[in-house]
Amino acid sequence: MTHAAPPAGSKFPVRFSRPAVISTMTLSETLPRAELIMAASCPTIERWKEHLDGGLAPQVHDEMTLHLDQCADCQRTLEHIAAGGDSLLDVARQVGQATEACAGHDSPLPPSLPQQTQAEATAAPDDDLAFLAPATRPGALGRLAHYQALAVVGKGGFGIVLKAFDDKLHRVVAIKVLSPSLAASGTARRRFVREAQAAAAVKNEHVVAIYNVEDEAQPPTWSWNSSTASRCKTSSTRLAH
Amino acid sequence: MSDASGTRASLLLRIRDATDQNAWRDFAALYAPLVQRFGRRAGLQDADAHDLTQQVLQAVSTAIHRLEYDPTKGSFRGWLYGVARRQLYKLREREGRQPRGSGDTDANLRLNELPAPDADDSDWWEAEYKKQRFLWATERVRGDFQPASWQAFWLTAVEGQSAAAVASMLGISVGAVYTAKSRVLDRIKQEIAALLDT
Ligand SMILES: [Zn+2]
Repeated sequence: MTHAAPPAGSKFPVRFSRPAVISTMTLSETLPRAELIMAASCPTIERWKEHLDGGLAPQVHDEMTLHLDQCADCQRTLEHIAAGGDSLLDVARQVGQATEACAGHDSPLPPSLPQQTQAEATAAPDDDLAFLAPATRPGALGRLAHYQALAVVGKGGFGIVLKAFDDKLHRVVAIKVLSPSLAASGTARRRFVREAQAAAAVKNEHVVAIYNVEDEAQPPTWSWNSSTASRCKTSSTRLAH
Repeated sequence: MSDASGTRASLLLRIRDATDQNAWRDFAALYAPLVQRFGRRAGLQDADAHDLTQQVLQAVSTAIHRLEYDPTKGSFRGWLYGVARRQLYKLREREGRQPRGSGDTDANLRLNELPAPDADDSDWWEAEYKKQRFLWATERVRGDFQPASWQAFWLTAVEGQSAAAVASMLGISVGAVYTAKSRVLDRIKQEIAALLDT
């Protein structure tokens, strides 16, 4: 395992000179023995834990990330620390395989609204809403099929949740739109539609009703009644003006 | 999803509190899809599996006050598995007594011919619960991450794509993919640990 030496004269912020065999005291419970032996130049387990927590200075963080680019051992070490062993990673893959199997009802996600952090709210680019057609209703942000988008109520890694007026049914609904950047991915698309179908199948007083699943829309869209959407903190102020 | 970690630990206690609206929502988000899939696996049509899920949730809400929350006496999901099986049995019995209209004869026949769930199904239930718990936890932490971090996690850890492919798709470095993936995994691990149901 090799990695680039620090530039001569620069102050290297990460201590890469720990002994090759790291203390087993804190590690033996979570990591197999083979993981304990690391190259002398790699950051310590403690360092990786700090990296996970995000508590390192930006420069150190960048050095650690750079090291991860090239060091397969540390990639594996970091994953293991994060997952607390192999089982969580195994479950993640089982979920992925069930989703890919396209069995129709495997691995539905509950119909919950993606929440948005303040950081995301300010970082979201305006072209997130570029898929909307011009609004045909005063005050609307834009139009998607027969939905007039009124506000953005949430944003997640896979989609955007809009408060919208349904022109066909004449009521306010929440619609979840698959992130345009993922709409071209067959896997993401199938999963998105399946989630909606599964959510629609599990109707009860604690789960909101799904009105509609539209795979044909570009991007795919599903909607449900807006009583839950209104409980979400709105994060549309920036987008509204 | 912004519960303090202290209250998160006691989901099963929280649903006893009739005023805690979020408790039932969290609870149903975790267990309803599991019961729905159990019903589908037992051969029920969507609508019947939906009925089953309703019955099971109803049974839980009736019984929850009598339940002792003592993990040493068995897991909650083990108890719920028993409830789901009993409700499935009841559903079949009811279907048997009250045949549907003639249009549904085929579906009705199928329903009555289904074998009772056998003992092997508890392994299925356990594995399915772990997948569902993972999905539930991912939903709860998703909002804490930037979209690119979330996608880096999902595409590698769940979909099994290579870090290099995901890095070039998202326009970030391989190291950033591993960092994002690991941070999300770490949060999911904590969310699951807080359930105290292992
Ligand atoms: Zn290394």
